[in-house]
Amino acid sequence: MSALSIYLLVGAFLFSLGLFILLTRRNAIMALIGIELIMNAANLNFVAFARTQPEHVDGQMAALFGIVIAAAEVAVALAIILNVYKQYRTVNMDEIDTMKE
Amino acid sequence: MSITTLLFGLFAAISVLSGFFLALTRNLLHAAFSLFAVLFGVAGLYVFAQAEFLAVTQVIVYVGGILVILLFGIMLTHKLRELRPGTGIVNLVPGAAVALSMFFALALMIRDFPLKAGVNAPPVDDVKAIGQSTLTSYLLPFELMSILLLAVLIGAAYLTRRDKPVNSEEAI
Repeated sequence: MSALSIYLLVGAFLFSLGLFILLTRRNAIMALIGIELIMNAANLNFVAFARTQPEHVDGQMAALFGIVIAAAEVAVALAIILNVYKQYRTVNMDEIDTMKE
Repeated sequence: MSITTLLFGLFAAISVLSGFFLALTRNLLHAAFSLFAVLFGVAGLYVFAQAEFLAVTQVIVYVGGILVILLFGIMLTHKLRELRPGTGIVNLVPGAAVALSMFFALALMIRDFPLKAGVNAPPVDDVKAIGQSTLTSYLLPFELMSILLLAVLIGAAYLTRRDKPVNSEEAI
């Protein structure tokens, strides 16, 4: 088993865990953690495939932009979650079922 | 087995095992801290993929930034007096079935896909190469990222502002 396939397997595992968390949790912050895991798995794949190229740069740049996008996404998502909490006093996604009170 | 292989296995095991714990724990704070362990393990894997710059970036941005923001989010939206900010698990069986079948599908694909073996390129100065390509071939995405971050900064500050009764109609 090559090192590349170990990277890909770890990435696939993290992706599946993120999917599992997204499917089984109703807490908005936990869902955010699941999304973070999925983005990390994608970044891991970028880095692993960059290693097979003679120049390592292209995949690493993609992973770098992925990290930036993940940071931006978390900031906006938490701002939204805080607003939702202010409105409904809960972050359970099943109980947030109206657009406006 | 060389020490490199051993360390590689250690980092892979850290990310996989703490990911497993992360998926199963019901305590939000434990989840956040095991996310820290997962991200740290992935940063270690980056080092072994000759992406040292990315590893450091991962630690600084994820561990130093995103994790702190997540902890702030948890503390602002849960009463820590309850001591166990919990998160129930729903749909356990269907969720596990979907995730497991997804993992096995991906694993089969990885096994059967004709992967190109790693090119043993001479070690390049990654930081220099990344810096150069950031300002040459990736200049446009780089500038777009800066605009995105500016928009996020303004947007997040706007969304979480304290409500001031500016307009008498909207002030409640």
